[in-house]
Amino acid sequence: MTSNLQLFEAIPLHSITTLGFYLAAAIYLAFTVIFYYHWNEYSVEPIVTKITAIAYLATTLPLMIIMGLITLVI
Amino acid sequence: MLFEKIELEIGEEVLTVVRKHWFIITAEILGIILASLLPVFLAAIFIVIPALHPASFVLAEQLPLIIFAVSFWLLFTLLTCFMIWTHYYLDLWMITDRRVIAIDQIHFFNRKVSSFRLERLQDIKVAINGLIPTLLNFGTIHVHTAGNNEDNFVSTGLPDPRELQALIQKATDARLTNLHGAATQTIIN
Repeated sequence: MTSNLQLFEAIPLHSITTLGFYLAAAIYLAFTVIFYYHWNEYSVEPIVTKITAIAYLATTLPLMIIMGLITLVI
Repeated sequence: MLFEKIELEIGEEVLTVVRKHWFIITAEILGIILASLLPVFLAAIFIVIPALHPASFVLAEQLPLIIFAVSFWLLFTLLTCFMIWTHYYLDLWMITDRRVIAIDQIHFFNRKVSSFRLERLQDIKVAINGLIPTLLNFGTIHVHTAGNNEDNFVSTGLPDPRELQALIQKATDARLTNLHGAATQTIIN
């Protein structure tokens, strides 16, 4: 009987990272849409909306790019 | 934008816009920052206890996978931080010279907007419970309005609640004076 560890070792690393990247990308995309909707609909000050959007993209996009590049490299 | 949707009446003046106390968001964000440091703690444990990793483990070979996992973790802690910030910023009380508009941004897609006219105000209660709220001066405001049995207007963690209570009371008094003055003038005419 195959143990969990053996099963994990049997799955190629590339498949794990690809699956992880697709999962992260899907969640990120959904969150971004919801996030944009809320700030666009309910924000009071445009300057705060702008700063929040810049901070959001500046902090999260590099992480998505790193994950994408690693998925391609592995 | 929100102000355009609320549609203030002609001549209606916004007296103040209040959000929760900074301590509320700071405490939540600090928790997430601690959670984001989890990979660092795990790496430290991994390094300190060699028995945890097999002899065949080569850091250079596993580095891309480690960076991937850390990026994945950081991404989700960041998304949580932005969610907390969104809830904090979009949750507010707007006090005008005619009404109070209370917006509760509980979660994404869970938003409650309620308002009452100042002339319907019956009672405002302020509660400051605990050491930190007392030291930092934040607390809960309960507003009761005429003909409303439900305690609809409750907000926790508001900064300087006594000042806010005084402001609402003062605005209510001014509003009632205006309305009664106008009514008397109509009767005289």
